Amino acid sequence: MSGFFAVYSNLVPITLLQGVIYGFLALGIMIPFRMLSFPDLTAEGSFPLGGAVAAASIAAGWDPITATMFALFAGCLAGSATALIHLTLRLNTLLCGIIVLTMLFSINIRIMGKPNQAIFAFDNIFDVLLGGSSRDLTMQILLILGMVLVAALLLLLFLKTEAGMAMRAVGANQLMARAQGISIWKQTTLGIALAGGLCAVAGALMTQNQSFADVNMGFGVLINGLAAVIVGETLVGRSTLTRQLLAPIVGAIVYYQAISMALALGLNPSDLRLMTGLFVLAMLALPGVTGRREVMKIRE
Amino acid sequence: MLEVTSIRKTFHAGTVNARTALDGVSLTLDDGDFAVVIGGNGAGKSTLLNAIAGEVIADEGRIAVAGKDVTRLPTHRRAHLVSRVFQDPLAGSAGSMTIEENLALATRRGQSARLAFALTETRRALYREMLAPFGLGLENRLDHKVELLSGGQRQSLALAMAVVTLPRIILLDEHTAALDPKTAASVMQATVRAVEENRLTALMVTHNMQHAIDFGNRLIMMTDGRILFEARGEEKRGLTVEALVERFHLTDDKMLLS
Ligand SMILES: Nc1ncnc2c1ncn2[C@@H]1O[C@H](COP(=O)(O)OP(=O)(O)OP(=O)(O)O)[C@@H](O)[C@H]1O
Ligand SMILES: [Mg+2]
Repeated sequence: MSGFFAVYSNLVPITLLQGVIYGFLALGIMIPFRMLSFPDLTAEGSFPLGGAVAAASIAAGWDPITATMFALFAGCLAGSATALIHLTLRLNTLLCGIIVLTMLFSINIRIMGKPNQAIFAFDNIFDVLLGGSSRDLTMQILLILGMVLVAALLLLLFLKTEAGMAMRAVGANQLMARAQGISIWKQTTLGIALAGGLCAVAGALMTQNQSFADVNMGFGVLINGLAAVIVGETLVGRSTLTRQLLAPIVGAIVYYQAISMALALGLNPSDLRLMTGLFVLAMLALPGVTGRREVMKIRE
Repeated sequence: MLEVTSIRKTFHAGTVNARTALDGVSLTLDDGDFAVVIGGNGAGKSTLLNAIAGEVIADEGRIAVAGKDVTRLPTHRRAHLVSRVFQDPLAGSAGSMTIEENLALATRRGQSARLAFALTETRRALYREMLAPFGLGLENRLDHKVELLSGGQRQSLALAMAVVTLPRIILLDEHTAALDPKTAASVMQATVRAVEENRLTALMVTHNMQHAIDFGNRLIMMTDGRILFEARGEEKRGLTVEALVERFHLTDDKMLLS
């Protein structure tokens, strides 16, 4: 047991940092599912897209903040692509996401010019924003936590404006939204673009944390993010907008701690996906758990 | 106010399932008209309302609201002219949003959504004032989610939402049919009050013959996608349920009861 604590406590700072970075991803996964009733898998492609764009831009000499903004923008484009395919062809949203994330695999390689890109030699966002303490994990965690909380706060404020309410109305009741003069196209595209942007920012930050982007870095992030959202909603609830927005962040932090604990306890890393899948299934099947099957409600 | 000129609509045209729902319907409503539409199941009443609202685009003909040709406009682009209360109490409001949020959406119907906070104390005071006449206590529950409301409460909210911006025409499709008789009567009463007080032009579908006789200044009867009979003013006031049944051999129970 003391072995477990030694291993686990060593991992805590690193996994906390990853947890807060995945907070962006979980936010970006929550929005389509919860705010727009648009079950979406694009995250699996927009996350590595963000990583690829950030790594390629940094390697090309852009400063890390601009590079992260490029990633945000690219993620928004990826999200819009999924939304527009769904709106134009009326295909199931999950299929639209699969098509886009498949195409993104090739695009991500094109962006980097190769399947992966190291950026050890360059300054990253931590170096730029934290200066002398850029290698201090605590400072890194606080920085990203601050960023994700600001993102959530901006989102909260936006969702309370007329424009944000129009977007939520589309997720709640399309017939009613149309009758209130709201464009389903505009709001769906905006919302899914926003979600894609958040996932890409997560990818960009993860890349800068690891100083490395890999075209396969998105594999499995969707189900992890979904698990994080479910954990967060179970802990924080979703009765108010504030809770709905905090849940993914809290969930991501707790979920990645749980994973790290399981690994410290000797779980084989290659069994992790199986465990995550079983966990998500169990949560969806369990009646009475907040965030049940309705997470997977599918648009017509 | 509303000009419908020879509209036609065939669903699944060119297939074995082709079904002509509107077969040349023309109808003109003047400012302040309250027209009640009756007719058997499948007569095309809902399709007519859907065509006016924009949910169905007519194959032929023309629809103009307040002088503006809306025939081909999608629903959201004519929402500033047309409002609607559906039969299904769940359809008219967003369940996962609060009463005040729903009212905020309705207050801005058809206007572009701004990046300004949707709810202010002034607006809340206005909503309380709007909801109080319904006598349901909704004015004290502004921050409750709509999914917690009963069917009658939700339908009353939908009605309040439909009239708040004073639409050029309000469409009511069997909007009391899903309610128990007592609630239906009170929602009907609120409807008549709202339409009359605001001098709205209204088109209301009902299967309730008594409502068709009691309310509105015009009666329109549809069958097989056409208007079969129309009565207005004196003639409408002279109608009785018995006379209607007699005249049209309405033996279909579904038309008499609802
Ligand atoms: N979206 C649609 N697709 C295919 N057929 C439709 C559609 N909407 C209506 N119809 C058909 O058009 C015809 C007219 O339907 P409509 O709903 O307008 O009748 P209604 O007069 O409202 O009847 P009810 O009293 O039952 O509500 C029916 O035969 C119906 O099956
Ligand atoms: Mg109908």
